Amino acid sequence: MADELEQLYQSTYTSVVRFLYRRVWDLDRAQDLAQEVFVRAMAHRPEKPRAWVFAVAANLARDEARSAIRRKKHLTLLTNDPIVLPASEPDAQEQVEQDERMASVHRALDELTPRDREVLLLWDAGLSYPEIAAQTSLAVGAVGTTLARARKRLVAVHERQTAGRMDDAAHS
Amino acid sequence: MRHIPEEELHAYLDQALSRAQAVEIESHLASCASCRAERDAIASLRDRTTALLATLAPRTTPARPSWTELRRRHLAATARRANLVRGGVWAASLIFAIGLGYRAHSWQDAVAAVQQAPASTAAVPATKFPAPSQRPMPVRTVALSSARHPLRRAPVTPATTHPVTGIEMDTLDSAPSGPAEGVWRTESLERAVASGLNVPRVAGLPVLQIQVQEASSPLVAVDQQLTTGEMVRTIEGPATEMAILDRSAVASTGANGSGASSVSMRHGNRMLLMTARIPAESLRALLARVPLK
Repeated sequence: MADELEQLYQSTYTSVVRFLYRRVWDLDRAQDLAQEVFVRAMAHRPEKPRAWVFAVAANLARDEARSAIRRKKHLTLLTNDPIVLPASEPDAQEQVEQDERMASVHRALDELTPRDREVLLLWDAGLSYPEIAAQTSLAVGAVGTTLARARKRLVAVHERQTAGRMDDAAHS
Repeated sequence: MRHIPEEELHAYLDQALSRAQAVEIESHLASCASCRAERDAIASLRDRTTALLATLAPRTTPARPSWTELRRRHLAATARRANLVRGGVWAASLIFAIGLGYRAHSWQDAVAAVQQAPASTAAVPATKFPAPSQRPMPVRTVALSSARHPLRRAPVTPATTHPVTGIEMDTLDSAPSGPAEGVWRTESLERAVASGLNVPRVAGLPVLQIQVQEASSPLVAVDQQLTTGEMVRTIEGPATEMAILDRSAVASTGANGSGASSVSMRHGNRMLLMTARIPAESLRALLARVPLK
């Protein structure tokens, strides 16, 4: 049992951190929460550890989102200019571009309903339809419908934003 | 012919369909150009989503702490929880022991009765002791839960159940703890002894109740009754944990001067603590009658 959990830890820790990062937007916090998830798993010894780990991660992320401080930080990340790295950094320009791309996807993701966003992120974290269904209390058949809607919306909003930015650039 | 709904194509591409469903979709796709085009559009939408989400990754992939490190944290958290629960239990035990029983009419009687009792028999037949009705005593109540659980003198029997049981168990049951740690279970004397547990008790006194808390090392509390009706609680456990209880026992008995005493004795890394509402001197006499392993 412990071995199974340890194996799961080795194989999914990075996924759990990424999943949490996309919810709390703070790497340190995402790591703390991911470790907390596995420490809790040792105490609970869940029957379906993989689904359990992501379910608890999602719950922790939700609790986290309720914190006002977190929300403020989150907004700061959205509105602030990307972190400017020292000019001596060879890939500074590339880093800035990557930060811009990320902020733009982040904004698009925020346009989704919480349910759609959760299903999409769970799918992207590698959960199966039945696992997603169990965690979101959707019917398995509804997972496909939700994913279809979430994907279309994410891509559409993102493209609209990118087009808008290009318009702005053209006008200025 | 019916075209394939969009969500089914998503599920198909996500490999979330049964084999039979997938075969059905594939046979339709083979003969329907419109659905094939739709499938390609959804496949590219799917890839695009994955690519967009891939940008939402932390800049650096963090190092993963070792599993041993996480286990250590888990054990620390478990120990903290168990200690919290045990702390509550100790407080309850003390209040229980201190608030217990009746003013001793004659503690000498109690000790004398013990000394007359055969030391070898743990479970003494009830007839050896006067039944409660023969010696009417004022009924007192336990401080904590007095409203709900008036403490009455128990008929003296060698059985392990007693109306006293459950007084502090109510507090314990609601304590936040995992299923394994920090939970008291009531044990019969026979079972406890048979399982090799050290049941600390005054030889020759009827055992009313045994409670066991099994963590890394067991904590055992035994309630026994003197002929005078006094309840004696003997607790045996790891010295590190018991020492805290002993200090608070001394502090509280000193403060209220109610006549409750506690005596303790260390043996190796274990500790034995006895509390009762009788003079410390007679308690020490009783303690000497607790065989040590």
